[in-house]
Amino acid sequence: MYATVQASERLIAASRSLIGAAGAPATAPGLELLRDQVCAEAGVWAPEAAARALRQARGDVGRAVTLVRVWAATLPAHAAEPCDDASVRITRRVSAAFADIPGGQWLGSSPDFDSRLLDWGEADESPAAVLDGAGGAANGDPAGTGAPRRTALGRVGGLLRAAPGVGVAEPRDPGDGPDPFDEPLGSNPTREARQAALARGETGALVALANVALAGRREAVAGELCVGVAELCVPHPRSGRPVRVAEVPVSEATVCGDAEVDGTAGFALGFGISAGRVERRALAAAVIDATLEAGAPVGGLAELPALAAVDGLATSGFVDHLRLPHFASFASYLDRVRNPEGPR
Amino acid sequence: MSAEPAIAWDRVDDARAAFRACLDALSRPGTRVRGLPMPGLAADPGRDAGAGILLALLDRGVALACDGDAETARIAATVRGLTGACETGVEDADFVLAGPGGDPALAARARRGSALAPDRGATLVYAGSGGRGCEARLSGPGVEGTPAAALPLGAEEVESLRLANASPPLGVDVLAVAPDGSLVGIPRSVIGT
Amino acid sequence: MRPPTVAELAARHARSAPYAYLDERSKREVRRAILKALCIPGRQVPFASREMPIARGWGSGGLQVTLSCVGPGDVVKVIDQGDDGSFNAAAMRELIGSSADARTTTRTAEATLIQSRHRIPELPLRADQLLILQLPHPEPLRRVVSDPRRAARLHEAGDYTAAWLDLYDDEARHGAPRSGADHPVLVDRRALASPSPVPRHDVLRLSDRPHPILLGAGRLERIVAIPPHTDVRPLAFDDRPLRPEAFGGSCSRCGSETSYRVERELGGGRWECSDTDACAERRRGREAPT
Repeated sequence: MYATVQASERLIAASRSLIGAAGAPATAPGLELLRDQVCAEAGVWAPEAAARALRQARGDVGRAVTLVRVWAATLPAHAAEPCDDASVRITRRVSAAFADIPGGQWLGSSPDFDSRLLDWGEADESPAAVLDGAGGAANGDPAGTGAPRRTALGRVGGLLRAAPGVGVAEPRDPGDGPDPFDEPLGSNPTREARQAALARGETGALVALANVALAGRREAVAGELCVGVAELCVPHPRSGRPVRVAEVPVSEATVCGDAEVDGTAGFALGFGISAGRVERRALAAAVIDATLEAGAPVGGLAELPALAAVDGLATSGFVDHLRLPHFASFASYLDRVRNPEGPR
Repeated sequence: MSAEPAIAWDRVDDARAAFRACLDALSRPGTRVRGLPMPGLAADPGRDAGAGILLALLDRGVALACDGDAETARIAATVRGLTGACETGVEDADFVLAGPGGDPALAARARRGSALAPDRGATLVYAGSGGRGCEARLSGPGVEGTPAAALPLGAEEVESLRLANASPPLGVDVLAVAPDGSLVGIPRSVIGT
Repeated sequence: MRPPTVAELAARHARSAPYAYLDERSKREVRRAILKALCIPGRQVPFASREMPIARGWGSGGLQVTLSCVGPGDVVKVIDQGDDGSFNAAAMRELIGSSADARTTTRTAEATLIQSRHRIPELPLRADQLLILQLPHPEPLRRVVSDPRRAARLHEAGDYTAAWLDLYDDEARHGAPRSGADHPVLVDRRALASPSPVPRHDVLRLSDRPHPILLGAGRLERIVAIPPHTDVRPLAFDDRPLRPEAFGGSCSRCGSETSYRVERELGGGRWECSDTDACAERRRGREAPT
């Protein structure tokens, strides 16, 4: 266990070696994070389907997400047991707010140590290797033995709430309705529904909105960023006992943003979560959630337009629809331009 | 027409040295900064150091005007050729090379920028002024107190500068090279009042 | 054996990396902006930011300023929130030192160039040192005026009413400004600027320094400069001076009661100097003379 990350070469080398599934060489990375992104945006954890969809869509992420979503809609659905902190094994957990947090900081496979210089060295460029790469298995367990469960670590948000003299905005009622994935957003979404929409949000839109939201904040710090593997269980059809059927990588973040609480400076806590290991998604979602919890608009947008903007299937579909014929409706507007009513 | 001296200019090291000298000069207006690199473009050390400053800072898309004698024009043309800077009149220039025989009220004609874009104010490089010099009182950022500084500029030039810089943040900034090749920086912020 | 692609040929025959990573044209762009910025203290000067091997938002602007200034005779220190050891500071120190063939150091007193994210070094700096700050949000009016063009017009008019009203609102309703770090400052009594997200403790130490301060914003493509001996004061009403942060204890490592300290763990009661080199100096019992 260690506190702030010191740049010791041993540490950086250890982190770099964790890239990809355990045992696979770090020099042959595939597009596993792109697969994670497609799964997250589709709301379906199925890396093989995502890889196949990316190939079929010739790399168009929006199209691939649609393929996966449509395919999943045809499959029979089983209710899964709710997944709680006890079923999540941590592979990475860092805080930018405090050097020491209960449970400690776990560096894991940090994306920050990847070089940003394009590497022209030898690489296996066969299609299979490119798409599947070293990270073919979704659930490499890089943390190895000793990796704690999420329950063992506590939450930084809880720390702030419990701290004397620190005001934290009351969270929006999470709601207790049906699975938000099955329900439309409605005109007054619960926080749970908001989280579900952000969790499946289009990555570029999440990042863009988080940026405009950050420009207007006084303070926004990642209280906690956690990447882990969640065990998904379904009840056995005969015995009814929970049976583990999948291990899904999950990224979650808590952002501590500024807010006015009881007439003084305080915090609004934002929570963001996403399937997969694209950490930026969870961070961006947490920033947007923190902004909404503080009662502030997201880049000038109220909650519903902001959530609509991150609905990738809807937004990309609507932009693409501009290619469809608009002859009749266009002619109507042309008439308005050419024949204005009333005196000229 | 004298033969052009051989040029000795390292685009990396000499450019950096000239830039650092300008940074020091403009950070501490009125003080003398020495050690400017000499490209060998002119026989006179003052003019040569001024040419070096322009070689270090100019580029394609930057406009250089000149105001002064034939040697000033020759140096400006050579610098343009070497850097790709374009030629304009004084009113439109980003940089002006000012030499002997030039207009003492040059500062009044140079671009002063606007309140919206004060960074558009021109930089005047005075070089080859011979023995011209006067004392002037500077005050403002970079200057401790209000000392009298020895400037390698004529009194008329200084007066013209004060007028041009009378409405901050508009103004023109000066890099004045002394006959021995040393440099004095006079940003608009210290010579407007 | 298929013929090489254009990309492969480019990679194979590319010129070796230029001195200090940036090509000379990029450096000239940054250098012209720096010199002009020194002449209009506190005003934002635009420049064409170049792609850096560190992400925008991670100090690419500060890095471009450093790379445009550094020479082989310089000694470079890079700190991140006061710490030389943070991985981002170390990565930048390595990039600058190796590409510029310059010595690097963690000792403030030895450095000629100091690039810093969000702290002013605690030890007093000298006239021959250059401080370069990473500036994420160059526009001090961004929270009260969201449109950058309108903000530019307010700077043009010298009209900072919006900022004063926002401050008055905080003072009247909460008794103090609600911001932590990045409190706006007036430079040379004229230009409102962001000092970068340094704590208030540091905002109160910006005025009348013996060395220049350069601030680089790579993402938003602006450079701001503060010459030595320049008046820099926080935006504050005369009867409501800006209050620096309070600390719950002396430094547990060196015992300082004057440095900017942070609590390692919320409520843990253990406070430490954020400036690791200054703390180490005190522990060595060799504080630089003030």
